[in-house]
Amino acid sequence: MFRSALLFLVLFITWLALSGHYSIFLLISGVVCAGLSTILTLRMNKIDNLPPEVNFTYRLPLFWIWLAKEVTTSAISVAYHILHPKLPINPIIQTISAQQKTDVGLVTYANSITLTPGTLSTNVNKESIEVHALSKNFIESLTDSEMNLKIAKLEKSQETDS
Amino acid sequence: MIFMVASAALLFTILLGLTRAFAGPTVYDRLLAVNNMGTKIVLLIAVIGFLMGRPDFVDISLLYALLNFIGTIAVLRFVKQQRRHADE
Amino acid sequence: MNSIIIDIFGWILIGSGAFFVMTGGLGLLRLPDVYCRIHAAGLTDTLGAGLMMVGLMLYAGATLVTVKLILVLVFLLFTSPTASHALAHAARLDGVVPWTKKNTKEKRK
Repeated sequence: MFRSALLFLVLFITWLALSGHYSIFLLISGVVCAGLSTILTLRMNKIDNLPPEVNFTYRLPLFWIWLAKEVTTSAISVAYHILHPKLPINPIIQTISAQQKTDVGLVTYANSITLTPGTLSTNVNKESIEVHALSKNFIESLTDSEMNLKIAKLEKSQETDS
Repeated sequence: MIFMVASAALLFTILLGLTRAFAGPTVYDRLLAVNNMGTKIVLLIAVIGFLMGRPDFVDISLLYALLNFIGTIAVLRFVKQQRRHADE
Repeated sequence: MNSIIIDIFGWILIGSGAFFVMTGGLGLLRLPDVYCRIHAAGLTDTLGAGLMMVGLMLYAGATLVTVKLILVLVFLLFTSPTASHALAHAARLDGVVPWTKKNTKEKRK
């Protein structure tokens, strides 16, 4: 119940932010649309049997900032590789282990790997992720498993909260 | 002025993407090029909105971002299914 | 005075964003196979789009347009890795062989 109320609120705020007009008619249609979307989502949850398990903690924004820093450094490195006249790339595929237990954590890890330029997840299993990297030094930043640990921590803090 | 430069750069890059979409040896190259061009078009629409002094264009670019993602996934599914049929 | 500062930062941010977008486009042409090209595309999707959107936000100021720009950016950052992963996974299942340095040398022989 709390979840659906929260969903309704988020949808309605999105409506307000996107419309920019606040006449009574538009406000009422916003309430109707947000309500309909909430009801549809509840129905879909019944079919899927997969309630959304996303809890936001204070760690998530910190992780995003760390990820942004990581993305910036590796993007500059990829740009150097592309612009270099000799194209000094040496692509490799390597399987790395993932410690995440929940699906959300695993998806977060795989997406973070893909979002960082230079590394790309090509296959995701329960315990490992197959990664394609532009050259060896990109994959070295993954095998020191800093990102892995950070997301595992993120997951743990979610479990204790809920 | 910066908006002019940015939209020129974006248009030039879209041209590069088009080349890849025509040349790409596999379907996936073409799909990647189209998806990437979509991202650039989202940026281009936003920049052109500022260039024309009508920032409302951002609404259109938001819509285009949504459509671009769903379009890529849909075409990918279609390609996958066709490949499976061809195998049988 | 204020507008000059905005102009300077806007030039830097949007200009470097355009640089990364163009580098990504160049990589799309130069790199040898699909998997490598996805890396180049990622360059456009992350830093190119990010820097440009932040630059536009500077010009928009504290208005609803900024909120919409943030929405566009967040949406791009959430969906582009998903699309890239789907592409790479499909290519892998379909048996597209990744390019390596050895491959080309064998072909040349």
